[in-house]
Order: sequence, then C-alpha cells, then structure tokens
Amino acid sequence: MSASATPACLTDLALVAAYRSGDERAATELVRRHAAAIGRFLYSSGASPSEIDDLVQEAFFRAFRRLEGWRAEASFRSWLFTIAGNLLRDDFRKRKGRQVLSLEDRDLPDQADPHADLVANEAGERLRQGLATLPRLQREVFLLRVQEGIDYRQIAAALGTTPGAARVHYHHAVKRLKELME
Amino acid sequence: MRDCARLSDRMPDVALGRAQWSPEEAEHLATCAGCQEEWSLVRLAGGLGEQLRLAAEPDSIATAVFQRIASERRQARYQRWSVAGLAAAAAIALAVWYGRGQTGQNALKGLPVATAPAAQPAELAIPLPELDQLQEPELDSLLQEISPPLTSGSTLEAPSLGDLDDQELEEVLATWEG
Repeated sequence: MSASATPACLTDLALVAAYRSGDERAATELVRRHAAAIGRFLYSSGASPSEIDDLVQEAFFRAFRRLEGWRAEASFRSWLFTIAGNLLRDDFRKRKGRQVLSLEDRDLPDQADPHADLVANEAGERLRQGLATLPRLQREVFLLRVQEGIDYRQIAAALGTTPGAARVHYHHAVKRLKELME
Repeated sequence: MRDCARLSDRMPDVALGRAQWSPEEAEHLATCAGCQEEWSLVRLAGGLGEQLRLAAEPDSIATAVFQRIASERRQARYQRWSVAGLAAAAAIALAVWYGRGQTGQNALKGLPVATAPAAQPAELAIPLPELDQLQEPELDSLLQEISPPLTSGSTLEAPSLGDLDDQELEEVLATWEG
C-alpha cells in the first residue's frame, strides 16, 4: 500500500495485494469491512451466538492464511462467506481440534447482552432454525442473495456452481422456508 | 405466474433498498398471496442478525489473527528445521557408518590374508573305525593300494623332512635324483 493511500479508500483487491506485500493495516481494514457481515452470515446459518466471535476470527484466520485461494472471480466477501460455510461444517465435525485465541476482557465492549434482543425475535429464530435445516448450497445461495444482494453470477463463482443452478437453489430455499414458516 | 417469478428475482434488491417496485409489480404484490408470503420471508431473512454486534472489535480480531498466523509460521519453520536437522544427522550417521565400513575393509586388506589350511587328506580327518580291526599286514597292503600321488605327493611329508638327520636327508635326495 502506498504511503498516501488510506486503507478505507482502497478496493478489497488492492487491500489483499497490500497485505500480501506485508502490510497488516490492509488486512485490518478487510476485517473492519467484512467481520460484521460474516458474523451475520454465521448467525443466520445457525451458529450459536456465543461462538460467533470465535468463528469470525477463525474465518479470517483461514482466509488470510490462504489468500492465494481468492482469485477475484467472486467478491472477497462472497469468498469469505464460503470459508465461513466450510468453517461451520468443519466446526460441527471437529469442535475439539479448533484453537481460537481468547480475546481479553478489555477487548469486549461494555454491553449487557448483545444477542438478547435477537433471541427474543421469535419469527427470526424460527427462520434461523429453518435455514439451518436447508442443504448447504440452498442456504448459502439464499443468504448471499437476500442479505448481501449478490447476483447469481458471483454467487455461482463463489460456490463453484453455475448461475442457473444458483437460481434454482435460491427458489428451492424459498419454497422450503415458506413451508417451514407456515 | 410469470409476474411471480419476476418479483421473486427482484425481491432481494428491493428489500436491500437497491431497487424499487414498478407500479405493475406493486399492484401484483398487493393481490398475490404467494408473493406476499415470499416478500415477508425475504425481508425477514434480509434483516436476520442485523442487530448482531460482535463482542470483539475488528482490530482485536485482526490482531488475534495475525498472532495466530505468525505463530503458525514459526511452528512451520521450526518443523522444517527439525526435519532438516534430522536429515542432516541421518546423513552424518550414514557417512560415519559407511566410512567405518570402508576403513574396516581397508584394514583387512593390509592384513595377511588368512588362507585355508593346507589341504589335508579328508580321509585322515574322517574316523574309520573299521581300520582298527585290521591287522598289521592288512593295513600295509591297504596302504600299498593307495595310489602313490596321494601318499608320496602329500604335503604332509614336507614337514617330516625336518625330523630327518643329515644322513637320512642325503638318502632321500639320492632317491629323488635317482
């Protein structure tokens, strides 16, 4: 990253290139940009609210460790979502093997319970449970579409499928969720 | 039905505020129960987790990630060096072992070559109990039947020459020279 460039002004592609050149500020900016969305995605996919911070950290750890895996065909965020999806799958398989650094108390914001209001939302909770029961591709296509507004072409690139197939997955997800919400 | 499919495809963008319903679409939505149900679902899903706040600040997450990556790289470097060290130790051990083997072979080359003992008639080593039962004359006749090369050419005779006195040696020489 050049000395005059502000990380916040740069594209994800430029930030990734800067981080690969050794600039950690660029990676920090990427975390600032995408951490909340990854957290939402994980929460919506059925992750336990108490584990979301650790899962977000793990997702970024995996991403930065293998940045060469992102070929910019899909957006950086879409790619992060697929990593988070893999992480959720792996997390259920080998929960014991995961090592996550504990964030110290001073890092925690002064909040009573940031998730309490979410849990109280019954319809949202039913939807979250319904999403967790969907096949992975249906769930991820649906969430990338409705939460991020990503088009089918990019979704297809991120998930390794075709735009037509992604559209079918989306409509299957909608049909299933409508049935579950009735 | 065609309107339903079109609305369905546009719902996420409208829900995220990136687009708006056209009057025709809005009219369809107002009268189609299926589309209304889906519209509610998309809006609910679009807002799911919207109020979620990560307990950790992004900078803290980034710092923790960098620490883990650095730790992993250190560990990988250590493992590489360990493997390289083991390989080097194995190579040295192999070289020493091979060198000692060579030295041993060379040392053997310097030593007098151990030769097989002088050919001894196998018959002498083999116990022949039946000979014990033979009388002197029978043994003599048996000796005479043994072919001369085996007896006269035997290397066993050579050492016995040392036991002979001068006169006897002269006699032996006289017989050889004819």
